[in-house]
Order: sequence, then structure tokens, then C-alpha cells
Amino acid sequence: MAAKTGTYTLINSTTLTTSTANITFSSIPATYTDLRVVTSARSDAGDRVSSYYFDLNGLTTSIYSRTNLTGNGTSASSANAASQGLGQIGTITGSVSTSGIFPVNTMDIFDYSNSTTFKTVLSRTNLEQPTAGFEVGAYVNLVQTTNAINSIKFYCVGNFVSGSNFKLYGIEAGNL
Amino acid sequence: MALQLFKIQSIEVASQASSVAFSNIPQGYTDLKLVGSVRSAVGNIGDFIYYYLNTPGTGAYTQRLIRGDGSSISSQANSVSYYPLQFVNGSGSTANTFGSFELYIPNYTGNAQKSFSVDILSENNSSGAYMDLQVGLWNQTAAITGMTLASGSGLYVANSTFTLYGVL
Repeated sequence: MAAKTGTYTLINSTTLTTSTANITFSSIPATYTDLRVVTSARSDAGDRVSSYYFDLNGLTTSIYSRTNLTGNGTSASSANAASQGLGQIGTITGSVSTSGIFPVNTMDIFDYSNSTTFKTVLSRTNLEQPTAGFEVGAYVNLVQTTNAINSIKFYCVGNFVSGSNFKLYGIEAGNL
Repeated sequence: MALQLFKIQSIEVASQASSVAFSNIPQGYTDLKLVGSVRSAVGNIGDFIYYYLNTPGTGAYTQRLIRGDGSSISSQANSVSYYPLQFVNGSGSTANTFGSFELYIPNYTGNAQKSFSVDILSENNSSGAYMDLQVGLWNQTAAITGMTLASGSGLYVANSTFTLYGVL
């Protein structure tokens, strides 16, 4: 077995130059320990708050469930949803939002390449903007597939706008 | 495989200090990650940090957070001329306990307003601890070239550390 290097490596990234309905990271190598996604994205949906979703391995059957803990600056709440066709990362800005605001969202998928367990996805959502439309918090998604993860697809209501940025990192554990 | 998480600078307080600053931040990375382990000299259980990007006093910050204190959850919004990193441990907390935080700024050299994510906690094996998930927005479009973190109480204790990473 090759020596582990304990690295944090950019696997792929994309910054949109035109509006795009979906973004996919495919052919994800199985050589890392964990995956981290960092996005700064905005949709063209006619709202201040646009839901932000994902699928793994192109699976869109009812294998996703989630629980979230979020706050809007006034109150905190928690909700869950079972048997969904997509996982939810959080929320992003829409076309009614102040221009130039691309909220940061992150996703962590630990031990993504194992073929034994269901996959858990932890995400942080950070929607802050002037006037209205806020959400800060965390989501945990369970994806009921034991397959190794080789692709991640991102969805929003409408299209992702130009300037939206998506980065996928692989984290390789080092040797003790 | 190339390592793409680079330590730009680490500051460890050797004796009490009122603030720390990162200046001339290289512009060759994509994102910034700031990690801190902090205790202040104030006689409260918790203390906050005045966090500024670039020149203190430039622009305005909004903050939205969700907080747990071990018995309840709440949400809060703030709009001020600095970003309140709250809370880290103060001198009224259990001895030798330090609060921790991670602050992540993507696309810090870009020309959009700067949105950033903060996770921060002040656990001390007693009451008065907080755990926050926060989002901040700085309303300036300039690239980030510096950061200042000033103690809300006036002084950080020795062994408080702040480490800035660049991410490619």
C-alpha cells in the first residue's frame, strides 16, 4: 500500500460564465478518505431564498432523508424530511436578492468510498443578505446507498447564475 | 498529490496581547481559513472578539447566528461596524479552557461582497458555554488583504493561537 500523504487536494472546480441548470462532479477518484465541497452559488429563481439540493451517483429515488437546525436571526428551528428524491444542502440567494451576494455552503462526506455503509452528508448553510431572506445552520442528510460515491450533482430552483463557484476537495488521512 | 491547504501564518500570544493582525495576505489562494484557540483575560465566562477585514472601520458587517447553550437554542442578528466573533472563553470560565473557532472565506480575492461561515464554541465543563453556527457578510467588494482580531475585553491570555490558511 502506498504511503498516505495526509493531503487536502483540489479534485475539481468550476466557475460558471453562463447560467447553468446543474453542476456535476463526476469520476470522483476513490483514493481519498473524505470529500469536502465548498460552493459560492446563486440562482436566478424569482425569490430571495432558493433551496439548494444535491444527488449522489445520479440517484434520484427516495433514498434521501434529512434533519436540519437553522436560524434566521429571530428564531431557531429544526425540521426533518424522509424519503426524498434529493438531498438538501441548504439555501442560496435568488434573483430578488441584492446583486453580488453568493452565499458560502459546505458539504462533508466522510469515508465516501466505502462500499459497506450508507452515506452521511453534513452541510453548513450561510444565507445572509440585506433586508430579508436569511438562513444559517446545518443539515445532515442520510443517503441510503452503500456504493462508493463517484459523482455529486448540484441543483437549485431555476438555474445557477454566472459567477457561481463550486470546488471539490479530497482529504487523505495520513499515517499515524 | 499536492497539498493545497497552506499555513500562511500562525500567531501564538506569548504574553497578554490586546489584538493580533494578519497583514499583506498573499493573493494567490482561492479561499482563506482562520482557526483560533482563544481565551481572554476578562472576568466573564465568555468574551467576544472584534473581527475586521482589511482596515478596521472599513465597511459594515451583518451577522446571523444560531446558538445552543446546553438548555435552549436561539437565533440572533447583528449589524455593526465590526464582526463580533462570539463567544470564546473568558477568565471566569474553568481554568485552562480555551474557546475554538473556524472562519472560512471563499473567493477572498474576488470582487463580490464577502460572505463567510463561522463555527465557534466556548465549552468549559460548566454553565455559561455557547456553541454557535454563524454567517457573516462584509459589504465591501475589495479583495481581502488583512485581518485584525481585537479582544473584546481588552486582552488575550498567553497561549491563545490564531492560524491563517490559504486554500487552493
